[in-house]
Amino acid sequence: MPKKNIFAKVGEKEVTRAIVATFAKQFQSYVDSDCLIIGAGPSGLMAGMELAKKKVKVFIVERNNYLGGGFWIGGYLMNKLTVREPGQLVFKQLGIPYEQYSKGLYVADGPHACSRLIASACDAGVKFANMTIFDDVVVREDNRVAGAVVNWTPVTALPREITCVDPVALESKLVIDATGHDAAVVRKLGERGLIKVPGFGAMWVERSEDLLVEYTGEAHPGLIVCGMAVTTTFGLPRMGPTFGAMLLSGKKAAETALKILKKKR
Amino acid sequence: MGVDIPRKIVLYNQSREKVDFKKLKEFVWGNFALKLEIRQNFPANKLSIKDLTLEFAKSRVRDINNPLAKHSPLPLEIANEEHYLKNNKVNPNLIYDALKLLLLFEKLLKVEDPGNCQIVLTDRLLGTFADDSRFHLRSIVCGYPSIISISGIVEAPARPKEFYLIKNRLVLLGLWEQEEDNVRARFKSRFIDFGDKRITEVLKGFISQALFFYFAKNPFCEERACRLFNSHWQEDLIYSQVKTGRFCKKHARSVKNLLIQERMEK
Repeated sequence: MPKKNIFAKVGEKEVTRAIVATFAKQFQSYVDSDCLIIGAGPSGLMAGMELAKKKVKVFIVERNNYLGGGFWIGGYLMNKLTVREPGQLVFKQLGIPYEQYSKGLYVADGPHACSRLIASACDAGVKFANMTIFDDVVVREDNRVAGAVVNWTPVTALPREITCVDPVALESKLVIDATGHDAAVVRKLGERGLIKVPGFGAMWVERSEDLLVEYTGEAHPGLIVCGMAVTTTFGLPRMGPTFGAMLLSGKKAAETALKILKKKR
Repeated sequence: MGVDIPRKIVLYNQSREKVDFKKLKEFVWGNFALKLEIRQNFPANKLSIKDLTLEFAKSRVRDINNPLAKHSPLPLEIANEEHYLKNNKVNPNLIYDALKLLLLFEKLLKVEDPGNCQIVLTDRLLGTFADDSRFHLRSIVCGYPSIISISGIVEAPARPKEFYLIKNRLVLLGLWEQEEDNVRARFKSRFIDFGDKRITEVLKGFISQALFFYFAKNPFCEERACRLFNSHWQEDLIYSQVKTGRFCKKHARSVKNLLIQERMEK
């Protein structure tokens, strides 16, 4: 027996009830959202944060347990993130400490930047379903994308013969594909013959950041593409580990989503 | 036997690169006694902006590993092409199929007098699939008109091998962003970059190649010290166009004969 009880006396069943009840309440509410974002990497988080700040109901699905994607570390597992101007303005906006390395190039600590971006998205009102994997798209009239079919990530790791766990569907006015090079949502549309996916080109780091932001937008009715998924969708030269474009692409995706949502209203 | 000498060279400038056109005009007049006319706009054409943007979008190469790939451009691609056209600013990293662009420009310039040697100067990055199905970027694609690509001048001829070795290592280490300017500065004299004053000098050679294609159907020379040399390396390009900057004996003779014939015709 401990000398002193520090924590309140709560039994295991109460803990379980708290988890189930609050998760169920949130999940039930977000089964229907304004914007469903697939992928919680830097571009998805950025898009989610910007939208939630404008009172848009945002739900982000992430297949991993952790959020942030590759934003925790830079190249070669070194945890410094570099952005070219004007990427540092996002650091400034989020209150992430950074320093100028050379003219037009800025560096921040990966853990600080990533945790701040996640926290900012949460503060803005974004809700998450992590350990949840995208399985398929929900399509409506004229093949408009209107949601996603998802499942628990661990289900995919087990042999199909022993895990016949059906997925569930989430509906939304818009879906944002922020799944990185996989472009999972776009590829799924490709499998249905609704879009042609060329795959990303050869590594061409110098100026492909501009292209990535330029081509961020609505790729198919109801589906916006941002982050590295843009390079796959439009067959653009692929980039190295640079993050300015991810952040600005997320911002642009949010701007595009806001315009579309405004029209829908 | 006389050759088909153009009345003049008309260059449609679709590029934003700073080029000394006065020098180019002097070069063309001094070497070929031909007038070089610079035009900013294509002649009025039946193709609407909508058709034109669609054609440009269709000309994009989306998969350099698949020469037979066909694609229907997505609305966003068409919208971006419209933006490029209206603002005369293309993204120099998008790759276009040079043969498709040749057909498009041919259609656009059809109304023009066929007696002119026509050249389109563009910032678009061009390439063609070779017989080995591999995709190759191009600085110039000869035809009617010929297309000279500023992005191609910068990107198509390979840079020194050491540049790529250093770049690849730094990309893997995630340090390319930090070191890019230093590395580029180190190799500055060994490759042409955007905003490079040597581009005007290089263009003299490419205009000559377009002209030789027009009247001789053969734009290239195997002599490295000739303006008609088809450079695959930046260092060769700089050698043939900037350091040497002249025609080889054989082609100098062709140029001279051309001048004689032209004077006789006049």
